[in-house]
This record gives sequence, structure tokens and C-alpha cells, in this order.
Amino acid sequence: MAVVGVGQTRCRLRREDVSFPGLVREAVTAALDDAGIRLADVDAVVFGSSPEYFEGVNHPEKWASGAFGGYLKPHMRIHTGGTVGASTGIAAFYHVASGMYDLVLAVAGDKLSEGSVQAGLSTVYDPILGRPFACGAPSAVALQCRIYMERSGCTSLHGARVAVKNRLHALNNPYAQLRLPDITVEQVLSSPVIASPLRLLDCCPASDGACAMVLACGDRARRLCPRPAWVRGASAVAEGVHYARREWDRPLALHEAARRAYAQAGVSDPRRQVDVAEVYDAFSYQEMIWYEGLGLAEEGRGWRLIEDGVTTLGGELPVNPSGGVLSTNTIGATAMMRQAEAALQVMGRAQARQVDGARLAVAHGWGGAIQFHTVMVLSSEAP
Amino acid sequence: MGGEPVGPAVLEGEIHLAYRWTTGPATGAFLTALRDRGVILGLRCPSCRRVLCPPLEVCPRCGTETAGEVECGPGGRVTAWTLVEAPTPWTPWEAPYALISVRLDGASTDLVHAVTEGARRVRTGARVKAVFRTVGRRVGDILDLEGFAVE
Repeated sequence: MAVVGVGQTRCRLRREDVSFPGLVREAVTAALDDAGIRLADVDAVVFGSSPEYFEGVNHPEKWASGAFGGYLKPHMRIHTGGTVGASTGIAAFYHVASGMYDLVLAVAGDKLSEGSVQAGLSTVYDPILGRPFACGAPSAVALQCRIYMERSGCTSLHGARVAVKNRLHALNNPYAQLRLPDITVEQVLSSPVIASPLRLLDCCPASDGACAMVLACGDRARRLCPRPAWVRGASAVAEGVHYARREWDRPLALHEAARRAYAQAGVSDPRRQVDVAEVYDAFSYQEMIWYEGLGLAEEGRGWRLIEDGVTTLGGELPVNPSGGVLSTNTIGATAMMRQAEAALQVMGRAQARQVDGARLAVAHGWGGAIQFHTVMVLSSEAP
Repeated sequence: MGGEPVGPAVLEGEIHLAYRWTTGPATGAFLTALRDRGVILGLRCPSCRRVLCPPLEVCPRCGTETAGEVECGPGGRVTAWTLVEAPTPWTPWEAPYALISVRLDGASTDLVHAVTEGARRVRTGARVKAVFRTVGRRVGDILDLEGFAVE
């Protein structure tokens, strides 16, 4: 099974030129063109979007199915919060891996500008015990980052360096939203506090955008694409929402998702074997926590990769050469964009953001109360 | 202390959130034509030649982008109807009112709307005619087309 085509919209803070179905359609058209196929060739469609309160359309697949190609085809919607884009890609992978379908379209998107994202996000908190404490995503993630800093020795300087690294990477990605060519560590450290230790420039923007991928079985992939991105491992793992057994700086769900995906892919030493990673860096410090969960750094030492420049484009193991979530966050499509960017890397088609010689890539997503994690391993080599 | 034992509390709450929905080029043009010209627009699918009204950016049957505006109505024929006796709190009409599925003249698809005049005479196949909001009071939403009068 392989990714044979990807399509992304250019992401903006607000796309007033297009409705939600039209936005999703843009990504579908781009992915079909990229794969060199027509909608009629697609056997099944998997659609993903984030919680309905974000854009105020309940059951959006009802509204958009005609535009994304769901008409009279096997079709389902996936919904796992911030992870949804990756869960959608993985569900499409399962469709192909089951042997039931040869060519499957995965598409996900959101128009976050239509509502108030942080107010909408607050409605996902448990209504009985959580709602009064909800301040969108930053307040929960701030606690996670505090725990990580106090246990690992990571400082605000490391967070700021992640924030700068990914914004400079984004300048190489025509689909990224934020353009901050002059950003500095000092700027990040003097930007307003949102929820300490998180400052404005430690946080992702909100975006309107969509992403689509075409996945194919082995035979079709070889015929359609000279260098497909082979999906060698994929896993989506959940843990609970309450915290009795949770360690925010060592998310068990991430460790388990990584363990499963690497085992499928035959990856035993990710730090040495992985050439490039796209991780869900919604907030700067999280990127270093994910390094550790993905086995790219030792426990408590994720910040060392930042200090040593390992994960900068041109470094030994570039992370988020696309600019990552810190530069573009549609929520619905974000985790699929990690997979699509990882696919482009191993296909050798990532243009100015290409990591030289990238053969093995890992894509990560998180969602819910930092409780859902997805890991996909993509390779230039067929199994 | 004392008195009746109290069971677990049931908590009541509400959610209030504001939105701004982008109408997009197809539906946007439809609403603009209603507001500014009192005209009902359809869009033609270049593949199957059907006129979609209300218009969509993509023909769901063909997956093709629609192109070419066509004026539909203001007359049409009822393809299905119901007399609603139990409305929701946000229904803009007083019950009983008639909802219809109407095939406007020149359209290939049906539009769902309400009957504002002659609800008791509505039947499948009945001719109806669009009633628009008074000029000056139109706002660019679907109720600039107030409803339909049964002929």
C-alpha cells in the first residue's frame, strides 16, 4: 500500500472566496491531478473533519459529500479531534490494506475562521468536571509543557528555538500560512504570554485549509507512480481523558502508537533509521516531547536535539521541514498534512523543503486531551 | 443534616457560539441575485447539462464544477408537500404551515421551501409562484425568497 498523490490547499487565516465544500474540493482536485487519476477511478472515499462546534456545521459530511466525491461511492467520515486528519489517512490505508479497495481517496479539512476556535475547543472539555477550567487548547498544553520543563531541564529558550526553526522552515513551503522571515528567539521570548510558559509565538495560528491523499494497493501504486510513498506502518492509539495514569510529558498512547508502527515497519532504531519527521507541533515545546515519544531522542533529552541543531533542515534529522503546525493549523487537515509532507519527502518531491536523500519518514498526530496519537511510517522502498 | 437523601446532581448548561459562514461562489451568487434583483439563479452542470437549483459548486452526480448561470422560476410545480403541525422553536412561520419540494421552471433539481399563501390548497403537481421580501428589507439570506404562493 502506498500514497500515490497528495493535494493541499494554500492555507490562509480566512478564505472568503470559497465555501467549506469548495475548499475540500480544492484539495481533492489537487490530489487527483497529482495521482494522474479521475474521481471515477476512486473506489472509496474517507472524509475527516474536526469537532462540529469549530465551524458550526453539524454533520459536515452531509453538506460536503457531493463536493469531495462521496456520491454513490463507499464513504465514511472520521472524527478524532486534532488527530482526525491522520486518522483519516490511516482509515484509508486500512481500506486498501483490507483488500476491499484498490484506490482510496482520503480528504480532510476545516474552515476555522467561521467560528471562534478556542471557544469551540472549550466545548470538548468534560461538561461536568472540566468546562469551567477550559481555555481552549493553550491552558491544557501549558500544563503539559510545565511538567516537561520541570522534569527534563528544557527551558523557554529551547521552546523559542523550535518556534523560530519551524517558522523559517515554512518559508520554503508555498502552502504554509505564516510568513515570518525576520523572526528571532528574542521576539518569541518577548511576545505576549497566552498561558505561561506559552507565549503567542510558541502557539500555532488558526487556518482555513484542506488536504487530500490518494492511497493505492501495490500493483496500482507501481503503475500510477514512479516513486510511491510506501506506508510501512500505521497506528492510532487512544488513552483516557482523566489523568490518574497519565504522564503528560511521556504520553503512553504515543509510545504505544510508535511501538506498533515501528514494529510493522521493521524500524528498530528510529533515531538512526528515520531521515525526516513531521510531528504535530501545535505548541513549540510539544515538538521536543514528541521527539522522545517517537524514539528520536532519549527520555528527557528532546531539547538536546534543538540545542545541537539536529532537527533543522540541513541537520542530521530534520523535523517539520514544512514549517509544521506552528506555521499552519486547520485542525481538520493538520495531521494529514504531516502524512502528506512525509510522503512528499520519501517521493523526493518536497521541492525547496526536501531533505536530501530522505528514504524513511515518520508522521505524527495528536488530538483530544492530548490523548489520541497517530504514527505513520513511510518509505521510498516497497515492503 | 437530616431530611431526604439527595441523589447525584444533574447539571444544566447551554452553549452559545457565534459563526460567520462563507457562502462561496455558487450559493453566494444565488443569495446576491435574490437580494439585489429578486431573481432565482441555477447553475448548469457542463457534464450532464442539468440545471442545479439551488446551485452548487460541484455537480454531485458528475463530480464536475458547475458553470453558466440560468434564471429559474419564479413559477414552479410542487413535487412533494407536508403540512407541519409541530414546529421547532426557531421556525419562522406559525403552524400549521406547508413545506414543499418545488421544481422551478427551468431547473432540473428540487428546492425545499415554505408555502406562504394558500397552504391549505397545496397538492403534488400544484403550480406555485415565488414571493420575495419587499425591496429594501432584503438581507441576502434564503428568506429573501419569502416562500411560495399556491396559484
